[in-house]
Amino acid sequence: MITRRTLARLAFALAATTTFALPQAPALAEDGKTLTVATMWEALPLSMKPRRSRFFNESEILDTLIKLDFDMNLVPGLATSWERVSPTVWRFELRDGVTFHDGSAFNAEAAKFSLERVIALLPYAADLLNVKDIRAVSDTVLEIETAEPFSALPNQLTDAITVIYAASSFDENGEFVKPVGTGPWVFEDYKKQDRTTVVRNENYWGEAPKLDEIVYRYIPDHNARALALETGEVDFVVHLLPSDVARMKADENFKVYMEPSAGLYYGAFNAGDKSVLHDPKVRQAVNLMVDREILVKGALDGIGKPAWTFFPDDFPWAAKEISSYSFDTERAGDLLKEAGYEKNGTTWEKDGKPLTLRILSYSSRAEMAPITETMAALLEQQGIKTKVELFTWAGMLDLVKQGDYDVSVVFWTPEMTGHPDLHLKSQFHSKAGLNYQNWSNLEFDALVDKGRTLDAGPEAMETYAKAQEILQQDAPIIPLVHKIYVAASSKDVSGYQVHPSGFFYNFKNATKN
Amino acid sequence: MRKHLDSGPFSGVSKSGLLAILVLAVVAAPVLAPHPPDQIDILNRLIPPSWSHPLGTDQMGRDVFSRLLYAGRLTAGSALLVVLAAASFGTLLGTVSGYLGGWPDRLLMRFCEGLSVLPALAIAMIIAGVMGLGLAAVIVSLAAVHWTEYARLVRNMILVERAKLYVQAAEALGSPRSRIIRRHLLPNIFGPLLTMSAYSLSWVILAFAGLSFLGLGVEPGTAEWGRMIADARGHMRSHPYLVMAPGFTIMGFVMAINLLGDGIGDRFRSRQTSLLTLPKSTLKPRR
Repeated sequence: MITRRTLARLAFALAATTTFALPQAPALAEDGKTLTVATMWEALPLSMKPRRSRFFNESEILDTLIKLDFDMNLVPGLATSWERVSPTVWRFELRDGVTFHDGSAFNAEAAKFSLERVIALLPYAADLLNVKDIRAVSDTVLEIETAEPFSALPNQLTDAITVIYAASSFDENGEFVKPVGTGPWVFEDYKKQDRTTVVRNENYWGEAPKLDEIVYRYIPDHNARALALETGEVDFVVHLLPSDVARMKADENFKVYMEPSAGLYYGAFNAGDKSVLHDPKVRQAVNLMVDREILVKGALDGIGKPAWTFFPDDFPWAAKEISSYSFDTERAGDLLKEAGYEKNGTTWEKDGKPLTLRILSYSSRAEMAPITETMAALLEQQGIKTKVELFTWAGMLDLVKQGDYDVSVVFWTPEMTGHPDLHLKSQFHSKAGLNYQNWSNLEFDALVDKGRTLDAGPEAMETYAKAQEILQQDAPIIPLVHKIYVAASSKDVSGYQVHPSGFFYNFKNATKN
Repeated sequence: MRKHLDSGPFSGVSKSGLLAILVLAVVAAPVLAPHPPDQIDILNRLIPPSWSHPLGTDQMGRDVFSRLLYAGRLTAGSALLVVLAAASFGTLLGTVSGYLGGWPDRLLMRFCEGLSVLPALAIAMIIAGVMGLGLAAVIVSLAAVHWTEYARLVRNMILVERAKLYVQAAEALGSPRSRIIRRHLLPNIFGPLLTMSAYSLSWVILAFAGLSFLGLGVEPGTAEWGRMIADARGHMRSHPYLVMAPGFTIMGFVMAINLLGDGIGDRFRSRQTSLLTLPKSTLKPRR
């Protein structure tokens, strides 16, 4: 039995420890317990909008209710178990005794508050979660009622956008101010255009991290980032240039990590009537004219998987039998002829005008320029004129929204949550907010609307297989490369593993000698 | 220094000789280039120099040497266009301003000074940004920031020449203004104008390559010196020659043109004593 006096003593002891422990933390940090990571993107921890608050999940300042393990299986996060209690209601059993970084308690009420805040602040979240109502049944039971039977919900709840924020993450007007979560890392400091620092959460509900502190340095230039690792300025580099991989692999001072991870580089076609790609035959022809093997070799030094279909083969939901494209210039030529084009010398023409594609991309991601340029060069070889323009992401999106383009080469992570609904619905459904391609296929719409209501099983598989086949046949895109995630560290770093979702740095197990 | 440059390998003959070789190489690109500049051959990418590829191939398997030659046509041609446009416009306004004097002169000169305070490349970037991507945008924007140099030089020289006896004599005889400008003033300022053009050509080549490097102007993948450097950045560490080849070409061209400018300058300076009244600094464009 614990008396009041014992409690008081305990409290005093605790207070004393914290007071004395504090000044020691920086001293420890100098003992090789700080990991410095160079990133391509700026972390931007003081805003939740950029890149759908991906950094919070990536850096594990905040936790999601459900997580993905290294085989992309759903595993407990802040929720320990979940089940569908009625067609439209999911019940989540929440982890007991978890506290936020600010000391407040995590419970169903807090989870409800956070999810509702996210839906209010980020329009995309409503689409993703399909939520009608969120109820805190008890402290540890959360119920989410969806607008329709929604089997994809647990998977969607692994998306970075659904991380659980403490109430103190927001100001009195409900606007986001800083990330306060339950994750293994606590947000400490942010210097604009320079660095974001996180420190270990001593009270983490899972196994506490081994390192004391991680500093995320923002080094957008790819050569500079690799150099920073080579000179010992940083310990870990994300997004290495393909051309640096071979060199670093050969050097025993460094470790190179290369694993397939969620991500597809693809050309999104403008299917609206402003573009020549309005005609599905032309879209198919373009798909047949680009040799993806050559593309991966030329643009990425072979680091990437040639993509002939939307999902990679090893994605569990990938259609087993699908009419995959191949490099077939003859068939492409036939299709173009059917579409009314004729080859005049080396160029495809219609009514005396050469078939010309205006291809847009953005330059902040190093791979985009070479991929776009190589694709254009390969199309030129086949007699299609191209006009390549590189912008910032926002600049490109402006033109795309105006429909003033033919192809925009983009990168998305369709397998990120382990469920096909995420991307098929949000990018290709004719009513989707992110569908800027003017592509609309009612059969496809019906299939993805149905797919998300079905439990995993043969029927769901078949529904999504049909949707993928339409994506393949009606070709609103040209899949180019399935991503291989590349990172490198000094040889002193161990315990790091690439996460297949491509969305966690997962430095919990990392150590540095 | 000057004495040194005037003899040996930097004599007038070899000055123009170096440039002549470069110009010839660029003009005769179709004959000299062993491969079409845009022919990609991914299987033979990044190979070191050999007989069939004198400077090796780039990340797309294109022949670097051929690209350098063709790029010269684009870069040097565009730069020449910029200089022509800037020089004609600047000369026109400078002459008018210098000859008329009064408030048009003050207005124009204040405007030129205002423009000169701002960094030229930054303004060019803004103009190109507003006009949208494309070669035309870059040519226009470079010309738009560069003409003020000519306007100022020409105006100053016109002022000097106007005060001279021969012009006053012509005026006294009742020659119309246009005739005085055409027959007396312009021919006499031609020398320094040519010198200035040479210097400014090298500035424009650098600026043009710089803007292409930054992604304005030409499409990625185009054979253009600045763009070639930008495109090869990813392979800079493993294949430095991809960056060095266009880099040294730009350097060689700029140096040759500058030497030529020096040569022209010396020539006119020794012939026309009147120009000695001009401080040499006014002949140089701002960098």
